Amino acid sequence: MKIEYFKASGLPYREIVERCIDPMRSKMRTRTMILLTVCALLVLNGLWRYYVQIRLGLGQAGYTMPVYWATYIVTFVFWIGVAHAGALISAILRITGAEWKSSVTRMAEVLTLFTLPAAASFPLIHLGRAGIFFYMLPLPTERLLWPNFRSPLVWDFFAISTYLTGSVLFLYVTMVPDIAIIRPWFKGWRNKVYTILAWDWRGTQEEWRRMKEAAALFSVVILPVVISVHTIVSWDFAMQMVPSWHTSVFGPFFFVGALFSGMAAVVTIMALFKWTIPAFDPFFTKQHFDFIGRVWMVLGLAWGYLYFNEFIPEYYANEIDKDDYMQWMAFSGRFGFTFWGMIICNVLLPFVCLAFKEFRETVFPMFVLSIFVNIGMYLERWNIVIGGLEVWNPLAYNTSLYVPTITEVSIVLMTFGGVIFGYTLFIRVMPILPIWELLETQSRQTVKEFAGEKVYYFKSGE
Amino acid sequence: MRVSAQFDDFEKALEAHKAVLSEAEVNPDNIEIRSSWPLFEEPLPPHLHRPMHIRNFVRFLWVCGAIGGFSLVSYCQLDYPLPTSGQALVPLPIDAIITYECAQITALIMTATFFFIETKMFRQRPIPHDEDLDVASGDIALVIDGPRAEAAKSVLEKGGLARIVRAYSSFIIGFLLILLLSGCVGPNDRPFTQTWATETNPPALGLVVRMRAQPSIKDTEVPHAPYAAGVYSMPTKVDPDLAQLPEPYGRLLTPEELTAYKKNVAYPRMNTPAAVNALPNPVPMNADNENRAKILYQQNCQFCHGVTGKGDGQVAPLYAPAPADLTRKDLVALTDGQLYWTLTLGPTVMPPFGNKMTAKDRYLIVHYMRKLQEAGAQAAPGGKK
Amino acid sequence: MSATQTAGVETNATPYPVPIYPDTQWGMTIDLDRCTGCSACVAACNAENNVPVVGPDQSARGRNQQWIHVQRYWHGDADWKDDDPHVRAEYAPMLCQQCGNAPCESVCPVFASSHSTDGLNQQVYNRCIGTRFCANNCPYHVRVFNFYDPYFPEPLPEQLNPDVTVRAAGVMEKCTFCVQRIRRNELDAKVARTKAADGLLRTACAQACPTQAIVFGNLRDPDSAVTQMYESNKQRALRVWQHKNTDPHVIYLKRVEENEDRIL
Repeated sequence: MKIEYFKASGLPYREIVERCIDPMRSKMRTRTMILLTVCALLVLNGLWRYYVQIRLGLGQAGYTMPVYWATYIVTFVFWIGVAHAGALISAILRITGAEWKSSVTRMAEVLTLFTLPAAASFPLIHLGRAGIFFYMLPLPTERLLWPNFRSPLVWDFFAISTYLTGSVLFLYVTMVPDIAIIRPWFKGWRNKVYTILAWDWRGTQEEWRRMKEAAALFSVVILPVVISVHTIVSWDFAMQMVPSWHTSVFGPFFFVGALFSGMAAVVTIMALFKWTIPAFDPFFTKQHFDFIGRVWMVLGLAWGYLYFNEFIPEYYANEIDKDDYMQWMAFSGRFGFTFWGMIICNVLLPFVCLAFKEFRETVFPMFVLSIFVNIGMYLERWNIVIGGLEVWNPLAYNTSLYVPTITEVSIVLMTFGGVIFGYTLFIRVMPILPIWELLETQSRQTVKEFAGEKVYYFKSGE
Repeated sequence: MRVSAQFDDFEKALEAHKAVLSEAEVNPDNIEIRSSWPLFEEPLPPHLHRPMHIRNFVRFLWVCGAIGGFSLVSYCQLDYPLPTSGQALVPLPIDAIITYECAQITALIMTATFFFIETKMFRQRPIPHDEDLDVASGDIALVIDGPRAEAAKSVLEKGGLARIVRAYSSFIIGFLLILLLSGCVGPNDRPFTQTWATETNPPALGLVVRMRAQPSIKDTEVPHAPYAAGVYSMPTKVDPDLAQLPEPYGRLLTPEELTAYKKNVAYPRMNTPAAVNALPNPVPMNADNENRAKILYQQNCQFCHGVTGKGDGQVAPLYAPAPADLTRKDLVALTDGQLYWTLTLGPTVMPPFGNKMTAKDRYLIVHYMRKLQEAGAQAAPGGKK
Repeated sequence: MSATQTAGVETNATPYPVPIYPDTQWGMTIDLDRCTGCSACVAACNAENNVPVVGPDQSARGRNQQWIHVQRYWHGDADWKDDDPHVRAEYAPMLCQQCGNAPCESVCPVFASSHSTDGLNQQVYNRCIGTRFCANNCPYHVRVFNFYDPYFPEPLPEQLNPDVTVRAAGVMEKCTFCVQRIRRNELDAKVARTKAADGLLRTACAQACPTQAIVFGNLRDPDSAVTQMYESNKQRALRVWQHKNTDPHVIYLKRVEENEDRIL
């Protein structure tokens, strides 16, 4: 089998650095300002709705008798899934030594940085009495009342805070050399800020050794954290008696789903970078999209299998009447759209499209597919949470149909606006591409050429 | 003396490094290669090798984190007073999850901490502040320090280096990372208070509703029923102006009587002016009034003074002195006016009803009292109880 | 019952530990043969426990707040006509089953739902932060959430029971087996230095039921009415969703039909 080696950009080092800091130095375009304004308005609207919800009570959301968890939890799981992009790319690709990861590592980690707090805000938003949320935390109180460690929500707190801390640290530690690199390019207050953040980084080889050691440690440690985070989030559901949730396959199913949707988010952002920031063009090549498409397809197949698998234990355990469930989910008017939409977006389209290299290498179709997959993953969580609860009326007596309210929609859109707002501003303030990793990848290819290894030949461009 | 040189090519930098070591005989400890990306894979060349502390520290602290997490969970579970039921939903020990997360977060934080500490504090050689090199463009820099730096300079100049830069000062401040742990440590009662939401009192902005103020009425509270208009608490003093009857049911007290009254607030019954005592009961008794009188007695007096007025109400044992037996001879001997004023101003322990009821209602109660006294006298003919 | 046995749980080989109740285990039998579906129990419970009325709009959203509700099942052919003589309604009051192995207790993150030594599943209102995890996990769907502050227009506050907390928005609530009456009874018995008598203590629903379909008492007391009821009707006793291992303390007694084929 012919091994495809990754081809670096082939640019001179100085040009790599200049291209990477291009969005930090260029003037903000009108369309960016419009985007930021729209996102800010969404955030403000959501905050207003949340205020009304606190004042009046959770009745503002659309909960009904058996459906006590709805849109907020669905969006919570969705954002946690997207947040797994960072860990997948930074940790897994680093550990496997994939060289094409250099363009996307920091971009994915920054996505985690913004989506994880957005996700973590939902367990607070959906509380009936949010002001005393700290009852869930193991704080020493006067009465020595500790939380219930058997409850998955307490595990959630530990897992998400661990992941968030780890992600922030990982991002910052690997960003220190970049900040030292970009520091001389800026004057004034930015120079001062970067000086502080650069932590006296000199670029000596001892420091580089420590950096690589730290990065390796982080990758290895954060990988099990990532696995555990979404598994614990899945146990929010799997540890309940609701029949369509109560299976142990939820753990790997959610984890694979998270990686899958994380990949989709990364592909979206890659395509957007390629189109909106021309300076980044050589860093997102056809090969990048090809390689990411392959990982993506494997994850999609795994997800499809695990989703199918989710039904099997329930049928064997005779927990739910399979005719009822399938009737309700697949063939009723109520969930027909979401169910079949999910199957098309998550199984059919990725499998069919990503099997072809021509598809994988073209940017626009990949972008469209990534949007579809994101939508499909949201629908999947919708089906699981709301479908599962509505279907479960074992006494056949009280069940109501859930309809989302404007409050819930506003707050969900608030998180979307917040993430996009934060991300867009971050690009302008901090280097979104890991400059030292790009230089390292580039230099390694040069050295490989010198050492006479069989690599793809390119012009060094010095 | 400090000399630095910048190269835009890795090979040239390595050749210059070798030249400086061999020809200028500079100690390898005094040469530093700086770059904007890591130049060397493992293993490092021997003269660049430095001891690493980070890995073992992090391993050690991972174990500490695991022990810490396990201790936290075990300690917290010791205090549970009640046997909590519930299925054992988790086949693993529950402690394992929290333990694991605590271990991981310790490892992560310690990795970052030691990275920062080691790159700053465990440098083999302190870097002076007056130096900054522009490796930002992707150049590689050689920094030579120490006694042989001059010799190195000449070697580098001979070798055709790109340029030599002099050091200049820069200002460095370091800072520590702040842990992201939410915690509002405090007592169980937070200062978010909220009074009960009522029609005229919508909820204040509080994130938490405390259920301290309850709309239900306890046994000892005064019911805020419409007939006791505008009154919600037990007064300690009666405003004497309120105790005036509107015409034509009585007259205003003269200033002398008012002064005399105010002096004798404690035992008004015994010391009311004679003119007051002589006031007749102006309210006529008809069927409606009788009914109302009975209801008023039941709602306001019965729980202390009893159904028959004998002072044997349900809550009578709680008070000292005990509620009076209304059929007592000396109470029967009092005039209507005296009874009325006693009711208005309140005797010893009984609260004044002057601003809790209209004057008409009080006179109705006096009527009812008379009825009870008649009934009592008939029940026990010829003597006190 | 041995008084030296302490309350606790007895672990066994299964994942379901058996709770131990040395003296008292509050339980209830509901005789479905006697239930007429009159809903007096519902009204009594609402009055006793300060259960608010949510109004038609919220009720249309499925947010009824009733701690006990009478479930009505139509019995007959699937497409029955209005005058079909074989069609009838059957009623079953459904309330919190006070499960011994309550699924709601293990999932509350703050222990707002806990178990007492006399077999009650306690809901602690001021500890509840409103995650609604417990309600998701209850298979009987008897847990009720306060979506808004309850509204008691004047003069309804005077009807409220001062022994029972009026819950604010954001807390879960459910049937407590009239725990205020249980505790009052125990305190009175303690003050009078007697044992609490069986007949004095009745929950509001049991008290109000015109046909005495609901019998409440101490299942550990062999002389109590509820134990007698259970023992003498064992062949028609059932617990709802017994196979889910929740160990409910409410025992339903099946209807007796003339036609043996129709025993339900």
